[in-house]
Amino acid sequence: MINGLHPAAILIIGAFVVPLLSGRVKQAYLLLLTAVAFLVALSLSEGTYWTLSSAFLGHDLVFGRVDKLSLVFAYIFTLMGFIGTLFGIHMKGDGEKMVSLIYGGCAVGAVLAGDMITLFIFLELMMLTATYLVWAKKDRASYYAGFRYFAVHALGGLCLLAGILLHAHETGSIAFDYIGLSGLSSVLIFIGFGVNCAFPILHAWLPDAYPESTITGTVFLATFTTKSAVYLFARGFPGTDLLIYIGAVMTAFPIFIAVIENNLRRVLSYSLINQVGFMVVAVGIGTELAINGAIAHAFVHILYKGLLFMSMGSVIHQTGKINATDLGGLYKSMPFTAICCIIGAASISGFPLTSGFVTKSMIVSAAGHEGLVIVWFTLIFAAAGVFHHSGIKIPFFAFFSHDSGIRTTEPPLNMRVAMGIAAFLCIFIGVFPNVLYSILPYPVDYVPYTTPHVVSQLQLLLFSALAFTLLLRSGIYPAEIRAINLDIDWSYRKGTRLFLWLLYNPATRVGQWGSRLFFECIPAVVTRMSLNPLAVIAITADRARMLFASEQHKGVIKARIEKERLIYPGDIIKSWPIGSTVLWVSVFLLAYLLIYYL
Amino acid sequence: MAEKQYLFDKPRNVKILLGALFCSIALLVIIDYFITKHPEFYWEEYPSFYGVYGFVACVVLVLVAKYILRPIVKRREDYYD
Amino acid sequence: MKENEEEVMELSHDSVPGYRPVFYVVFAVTIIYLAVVLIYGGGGDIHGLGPTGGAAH
Repeated sequence: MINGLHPAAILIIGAFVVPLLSGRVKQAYLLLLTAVAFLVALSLSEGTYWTLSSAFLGHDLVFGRVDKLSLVFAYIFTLMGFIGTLFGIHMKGDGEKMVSLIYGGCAVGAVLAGDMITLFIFLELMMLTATYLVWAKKDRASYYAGFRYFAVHALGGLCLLAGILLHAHETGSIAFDYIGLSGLSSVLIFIGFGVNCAFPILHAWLPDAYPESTITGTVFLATFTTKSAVYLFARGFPGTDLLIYIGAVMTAFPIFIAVIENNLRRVLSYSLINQVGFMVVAVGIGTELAINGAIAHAFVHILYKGLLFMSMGSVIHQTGKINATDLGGLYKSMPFTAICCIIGAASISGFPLTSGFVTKSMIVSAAGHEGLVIVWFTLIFAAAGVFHHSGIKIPFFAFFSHDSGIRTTEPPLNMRVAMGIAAFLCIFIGVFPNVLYSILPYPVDYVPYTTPHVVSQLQLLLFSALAFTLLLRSGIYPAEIRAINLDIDWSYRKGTRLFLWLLYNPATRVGQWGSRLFFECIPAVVTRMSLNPLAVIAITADRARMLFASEQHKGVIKARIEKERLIYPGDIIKSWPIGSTVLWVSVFLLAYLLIYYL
Repeated sequence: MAEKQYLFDKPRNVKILLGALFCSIALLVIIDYFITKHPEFYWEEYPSFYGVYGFVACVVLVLVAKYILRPIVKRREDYYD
Repeated sequence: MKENEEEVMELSHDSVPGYRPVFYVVFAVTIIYLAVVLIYGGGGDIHGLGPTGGAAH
């Protein structure tokens, strides 16, 4: 037990040493640092550590709330930090390596945070570092995608901050425990978490930004932000019914776009939303089986999604291409990468003997136990759909299908080893699920390998494969087209232009008119009238009289107004005796007094 | 082109793969008759329910994506530029 | 095989003779089967929706 060291601190502080080193030493240091962080996470025992008493406006800051729920995430985050670092260790550029470590460290810090202030700070640091990772590809597309990522998450962060402050005000505590959906503060926190979790409508940043990052950046991005949000919901909102329906929508809608999407990393981004949807459904169900399922699914999802992004990263690294229209036939020159990709694809589809099978089935069973008919049908539909677009489409269009004629080589050794480790773990957990079950928050009495379950799952998958084969061979399967597909981000990518147009045209005119009215006309009139208010009153009274006066009187009054206007402002002293000044002053004082007491 | 022949360059290997798929599906349909199920819902008891549902789900998914979604959301690659 | 230097705009999937009728038949059969199971499967009993109880823990 090394309670002196916080795994997040190891990663974050350790990151700043990276620029001082070079060559092999730096590579060794990076691996050692992430490995130590993983081992330290493994050595943590339950309890509350690293507490700063009364550090924030009299509240305690808790950096280490270590319990079964947070531990699982600390394990997998540090493990994937190690695998992702190994994958990108040969790449140039210290900035990206440092920021990846800080990003991973902040994710670990966020899941171990026991209070909302610490949590908020770590989440915002994650947002900043993730934006940097999107920018790290250093091209036009990633530059703009990074800004959009930042804008959406900054709004989410503001929402979360407002929620946290309100919540702290209501409960008098900043401790982060069960919140539940009741009242404005919880709704704001819910939305703040929901942005990170890629809730429908709030999701567009994910397929927008993730495919634009570097090959290693995407592996890290796909690991930390959404899964830490799943943890936050499991901690703060377990058993919230709304989550079941949000999650069900998340499982279903992305697969339709994924089928027609050409950029294979974008296909994986949509299937990421689909998989997170399974976890959100499970958190919403909130039974012990369901929470276990959500956490276990998050754990294995990080491994196989990381593996899939690594295999697509290898394809980009070796060929410079990622669109389905440009790829095909790569199994001929990259067989190892193809096998790793297939293992990842089998895992995400939930083939027996892979990790997805032993965790996704917990969630579907939990939905069945609760008798949620429509949700159950949606989940099975999504399970078939994810096999269709991630399980078949990704490996088929990249490595098989129409031969693009590209002949290349396998990626460097470190990339192959990183993929090999992830692929091994996917199968290992699938064969020995009890290793994973033993670290889950609740005791598990779930048996995934029963004959009917294996048969029904195999049927679901093989009939889906049959559908793919028949559709493809009968020419009905949609062609791969070099094109993009609109999503909700259209509203702010095109919407901002409308906004700018409104800003430049009608809004500017209204603004000019307003400024002339309020800063020129009204002050001028008021200044002129205040020169001699009594004369103004006299003129106004005469004008009023004009309305009711008879014809011959009108001439007299008109002449008088002419005269009054001519001599305005006139001699103020003469028409403004001391007595009336005192009278007015006392009237105003009385008015103040009355207003004060009212 | 005197290029090396790879695994799926031979039509025979593709046929073997497809044959394996069709055979395993047939096998699963047969096995499904004989196993005792523990269903949560009544429809799970019907033979090969999962397979049939999976097939229909995938076909519907592809048809909707191709004929409904694609005409709505597809744009040229430089649409946002 | 096309050896275009420029990027491929569209990769359609050519149909293999004989597959299309098979697809239509299989799709029709499965969709009818599914409809029959879901509509008439519960013996017309609407309360059949939901856990059957046998496996509910």
